[in-house]
Amino acid sequence: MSVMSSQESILSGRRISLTWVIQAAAVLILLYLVSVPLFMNLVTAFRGPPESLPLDPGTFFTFDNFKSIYQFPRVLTIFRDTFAFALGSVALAFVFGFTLAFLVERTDMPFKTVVYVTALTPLMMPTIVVVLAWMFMLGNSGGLINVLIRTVLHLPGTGPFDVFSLYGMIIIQGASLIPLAFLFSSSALKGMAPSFEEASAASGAFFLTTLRRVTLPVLRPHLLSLLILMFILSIETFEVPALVGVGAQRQVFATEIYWSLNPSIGLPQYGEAASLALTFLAIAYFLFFEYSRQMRDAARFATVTGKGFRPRQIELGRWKAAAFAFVAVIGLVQVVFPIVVLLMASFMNRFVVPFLQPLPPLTLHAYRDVLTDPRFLAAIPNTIFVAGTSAFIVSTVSSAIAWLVGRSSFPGRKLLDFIASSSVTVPSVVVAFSFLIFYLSIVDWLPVYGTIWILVLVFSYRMTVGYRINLAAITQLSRELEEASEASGAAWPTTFRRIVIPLIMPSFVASFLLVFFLGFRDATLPLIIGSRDTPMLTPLIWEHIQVGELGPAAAESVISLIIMLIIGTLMRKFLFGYVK
Amino acid sequence: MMKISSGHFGRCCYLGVGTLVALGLMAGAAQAADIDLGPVPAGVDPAAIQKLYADAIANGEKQVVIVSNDRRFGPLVEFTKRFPGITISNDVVSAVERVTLIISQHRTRHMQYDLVEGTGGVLDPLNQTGAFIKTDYAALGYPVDDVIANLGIYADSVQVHAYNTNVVKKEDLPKKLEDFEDPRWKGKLVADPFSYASGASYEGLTHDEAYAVKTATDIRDASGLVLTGTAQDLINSGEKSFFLFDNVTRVIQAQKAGAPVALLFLEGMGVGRFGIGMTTLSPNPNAAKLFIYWIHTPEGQAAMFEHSSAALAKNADSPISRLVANAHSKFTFETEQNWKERGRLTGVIQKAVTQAR
Repeated sequence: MSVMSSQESILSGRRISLTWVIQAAAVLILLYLVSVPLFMNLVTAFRGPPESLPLDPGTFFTFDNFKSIYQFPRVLTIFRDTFAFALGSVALAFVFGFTLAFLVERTDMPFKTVVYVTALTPLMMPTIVVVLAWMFMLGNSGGLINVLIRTVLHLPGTGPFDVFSLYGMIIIQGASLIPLAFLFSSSALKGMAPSFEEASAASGAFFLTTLRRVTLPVLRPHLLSLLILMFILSIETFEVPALVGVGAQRQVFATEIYWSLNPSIGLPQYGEAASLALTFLAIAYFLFFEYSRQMRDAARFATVTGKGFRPRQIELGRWKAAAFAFVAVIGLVQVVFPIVVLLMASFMNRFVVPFLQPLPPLTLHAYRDVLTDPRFLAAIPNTIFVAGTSAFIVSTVSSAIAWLVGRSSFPGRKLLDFIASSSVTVPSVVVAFSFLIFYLSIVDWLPVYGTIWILVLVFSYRMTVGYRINLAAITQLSRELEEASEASGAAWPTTFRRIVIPLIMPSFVASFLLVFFLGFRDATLPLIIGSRDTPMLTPLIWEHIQVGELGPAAAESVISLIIMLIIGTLMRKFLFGYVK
Repeated sequence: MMKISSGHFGRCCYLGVGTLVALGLMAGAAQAADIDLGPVPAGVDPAAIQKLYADAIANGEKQVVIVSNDRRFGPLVEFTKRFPGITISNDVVSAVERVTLIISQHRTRHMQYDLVEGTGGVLDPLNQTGAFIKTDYAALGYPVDDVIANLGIYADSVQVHAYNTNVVKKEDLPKKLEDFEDPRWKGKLVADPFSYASGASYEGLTHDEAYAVKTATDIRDASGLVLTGTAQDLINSGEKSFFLFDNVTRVIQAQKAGAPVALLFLEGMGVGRFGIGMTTLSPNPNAAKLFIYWIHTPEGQAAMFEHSSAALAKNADSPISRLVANAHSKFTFETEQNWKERGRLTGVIQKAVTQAR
């Protein structure tokens, strides 16, 4: 008996109405949070002329935005560079992120908390600061890594690496995705019963054979979802192409959007940016459609069943040293070097390449200025509140939607899947303006503009990340557990709360942490939607970098990193403690 | 029917005279409360400025809200000292978002800002959409050539090539722009994508479009020029040697922060112009006009330079204008006549230099 059939059999009385109220509420919240930017993006892509805003009087329906973007042979270059950049970044992030997660979840590697912190720390640093740190690590004249290699190998001149290249872009973007790959893979491995692996091992298969023929295939729903999400995030990402891609003279979708939004004269070309975003949407939906096709027989991937479930730990033995070396290299490049650059910049008021010029005296001026700035002191609680509340909304709503799409026979579930998967494809700038115009238009009915609540609502539009993580987790769940609950007379809300939520909790926590950290370091949304009364951390950092004040920017980054580390550790302890 | 007696009439007369005397005293008191305006520039009526201030105070306009690219207006406490009771509130929003933000607030009639800062090219849509009100800048002391696209020009962006003194010797400095194509500078040049195209656009104004595009792309190809928004950090740190088409204000600020950078003026440099415009729905219109007046006065200019190293390069005596005079180079200024063409050329050059090699 399926869950739905059993559910239908009890569709009567008070319990049904509660089920429907909860499900309807989740759908309505999703529509409210995601539809505004999605609808505005659609309208903007087909409105002209380019010198007008999309809802201005005198605008008309047109394909001009698409014609302007899709000119041959330029468009071929854009596709070539974009796919090379995205595929390279995804491959790099997956290899490193999955391996780290495997070491933490499946082996007896010691100091797992340190590995966990190492993997997630880059997620806590503002992207622009991370990109700057990479420039100082891979700069071809005095980049720390280049200098180190030249010194060891006695190489003359500059290089061997140049950050302003396609591989430079791939390294930076790939490295920035490692935390996502780690979190996703970690939650998948946590939710996977080890019986298949044990059977494989018992049959005499080697570790790598088991990994290739058992672990990876069984985790297919999670990993495919992860690969698709990372691919979309890579083609949509803004900072790396804008700061490094232009210098590398690579034309990717994001740099095209950048130029559309930064004309030398007149209004930003929002129509062009929106039409490019629709391309993302088409690519994303094609990939998610392919994912659904692959997952048609989802029951095959259900690894969390009513049978015994206990994680198995592989003994690393003599491989422990190699595993340590692997983690150390990642830690050095992802955490130690960027933090060294940040600390140097914060104590010197700027960064100085140590081997090229004398170091200036150390000073605490930047910290003194930052810690006496009332805006910075107000920004800390504001940012924690906005990022935390929106992460909770996203995780809760997206898990309910994931259940509706993955489990129920809800008539509009394909549309729900489309809407929940779409938010990641709309560029942040378009999202911000959609909400700005929307909330300004309804300010007399819903006076949230200028308050902290508008930031909470706007930050909560990031449904895709939470939804894809939770959908993959629900696909892993065997229906038999819910059926047992239903058969025992439990209504859907009780089954969802007492069976589904605890079992998908690792994914729920992963989506919460991810959305929280993404919110913590977002600059675009608070810059446009925020106000003087609700300062946020990243816009303050951005303001300093804008005028070349690297010292205060670095000091603010160091302080926010410390806060995030504390919050991240407490959350992990509390939330994963709950999972156990 | 009430009968008016002579006694009543007499009392009314006393009351009328008393009222007139009281009004006279109040007027006198108001006159006495006039503030010290300091030296008022020629062409400005001091009484009009006093009236603006009195109206601002009477209307409860306690602040001027400015939106700009950085926080350059926030620290100008000298304005509040000159006009007690009126403070400056400075929001930072980047150029891309600023215009759309103002148009959105204008359309929905929820304007938060009095003044918007930027260049003519960026802010002109605010004129086209009616979000900017036509301002009589002459009455506020602005010469004709300090008004572009309905913006009162308050500071100039003087272009210059910056170099790191720790990695470049003075005797090796290039003498003309084409010298940057020399192989010795390969891999050592950096520029901001906007300011590089903007700088080269002046070559287009003085020569022609083809020349400007060729010069910009030749330097890029010969030197492996890196275009990035982080150019300033790369030059300050010594990772790169030259920042092509930087601006004087930014270099002076870097020098103040201790960065080993110096200025190199070559022929054919340009001067872009920054202005402020007033929104049609300004919540504090009198205070906003006072600020527009004040920022162009010698006192406002000195304060501006003190806090953000920005000032006018012409029509005012400022450290920047002295620097330009001593540069022994011929500068091309942005004007009401050429700003649109300069913007167009910047777009063309930007497209050419950011195309894949």
